[in-house]
Amino acid sequence: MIEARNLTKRYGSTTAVDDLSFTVQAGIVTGFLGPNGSGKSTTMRMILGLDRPDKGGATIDGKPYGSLKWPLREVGALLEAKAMHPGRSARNHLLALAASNKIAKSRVDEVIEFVGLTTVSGRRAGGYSLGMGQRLGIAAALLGDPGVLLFDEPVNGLDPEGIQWVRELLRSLSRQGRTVFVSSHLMSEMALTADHVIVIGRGKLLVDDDMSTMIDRAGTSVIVRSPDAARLSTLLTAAGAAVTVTDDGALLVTRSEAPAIGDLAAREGIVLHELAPQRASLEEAFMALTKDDVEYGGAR
Amino acid sequence: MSQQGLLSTTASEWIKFRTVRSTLYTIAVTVVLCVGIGALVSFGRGSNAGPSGFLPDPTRISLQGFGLAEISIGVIGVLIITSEYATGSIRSTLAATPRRLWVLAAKVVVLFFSTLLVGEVCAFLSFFVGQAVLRSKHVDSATLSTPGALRGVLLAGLSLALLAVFAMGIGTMLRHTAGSVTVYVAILLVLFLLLAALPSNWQHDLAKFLPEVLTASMRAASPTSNEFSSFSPLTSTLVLAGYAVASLAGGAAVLVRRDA
Repeated sequence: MIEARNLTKRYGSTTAVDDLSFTVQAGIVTGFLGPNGSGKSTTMRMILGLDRPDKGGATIDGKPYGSLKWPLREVGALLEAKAMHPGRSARNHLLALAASNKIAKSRVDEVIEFVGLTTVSGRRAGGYSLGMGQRLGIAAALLGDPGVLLFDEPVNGLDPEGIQWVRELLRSLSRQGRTVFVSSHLMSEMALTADHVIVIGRGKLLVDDDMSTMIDRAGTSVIVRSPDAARLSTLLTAAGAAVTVTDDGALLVTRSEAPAIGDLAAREGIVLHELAPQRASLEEAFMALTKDDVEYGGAR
Repeated sequence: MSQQGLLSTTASEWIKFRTVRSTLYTIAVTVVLCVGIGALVSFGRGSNAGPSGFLPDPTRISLQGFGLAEISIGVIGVLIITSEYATGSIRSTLAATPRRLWVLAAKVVVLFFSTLLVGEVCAFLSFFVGQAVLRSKHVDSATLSTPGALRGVLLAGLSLALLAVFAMGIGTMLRHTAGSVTVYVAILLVLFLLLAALPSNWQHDLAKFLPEVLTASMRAASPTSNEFSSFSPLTSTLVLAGYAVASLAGGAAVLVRRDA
């Protein structure tokens, strides 16, 4: 379990992470979403004790990261790809990490094989592709067989097959009862992997909810076409719905449902040519959610 | 051992130190500089000696290559830490060992003993090669049983290890390779040049504190007839060690406080 309490990080006059509190539970995949620059990586670095929060703190199973006895055996992390010396081979990079936490050498070869780097593990990491670098980073995260895992944008640079492999990996790790915390700036990616989502924008917590609730909350809209659109629009607005007129003259109605709109039209004797519920995509919901924060960021 | 300590961290740092090529290249350059320049200077001094064959301190003549080796050994000291910042591997390192002073201590252990070994190999090789050249010129030469010669050779090796640690402290404070090497070289060479701008009585008092003068004193078998007064070889060693400790303390303060 990861717990963040009132995490705050300022860089000069900019507040990168703003009073952020959340809990990441074991046994599920928790997605950590936000636009680029919203503070996801900074938050992860603070959890790992790499950056010092200006206020608040984070704990792993109740303990601050710095007080873990053998950190890599309790927490594995994939930070930005290629957090390694380009002149050192993958195997030597992992051997050095293993030695620092007294992890058996045999485990190094195990994780190398697991991520599929066996044939290239003796080559200098500088020559690796982005995808191979990601796989090496994932191998490093799994090295100590930890109960808590953090992945910062793990699918970056991976081919479709690699992306599929990471999704499966995250799910199977969570099924084993581990805590899996994975960041992404793509809602659609998280929709396929995460059971729970934490959304931040400009360092502030926006959503902390189950994925299914998030999908429900994305909500629906209804496209309505009628020869008497103007009168219907007035009546719907009076009834509490939000109506916008699309380019081709149809009404896009939110905060109401298709049956209610149909009933109202029948009561008022208004002819309807179309009454079509639209399910908003999760990506759109995410964009709408973080739009203000992104715009605010752009305006500054 | 129930938790991370110096032993596990040192094992990790040793793997990191010996698995990058830059370490091996820089060590090779250091050995070549020491022995090669020592042999050249011995040849030159041996050829130019008067008919009496008198040479002041043949030990020190054979160790002249150390002046340049001090620069390459400093590069090793700087790189052991700045390469981690340049490549981003510092985050892997500090996530694996969040007690940052253990990381610093482990790097010091690995760097000090590696460069001490390199330094002593350089010193003995330079001494034997240099003295052989002097003997072939039939001028004054030394053996290890010449008073002060063994001390000069041993302290010459030690001077490289202390300078490497001094350079590592600078690298830990500045985090950038080029900047750190520049500052290190400036302290070694430019301070010496700046000294010339000072009144002569100040020069006399301050010169002995310069790293170049300290290491020259450490290499000497007999007291030097320098234009500057200098500390005794043992005092010079202690002062240089003090510089290394001070530089490390600065590095430690920065490492603990700043974000990785």
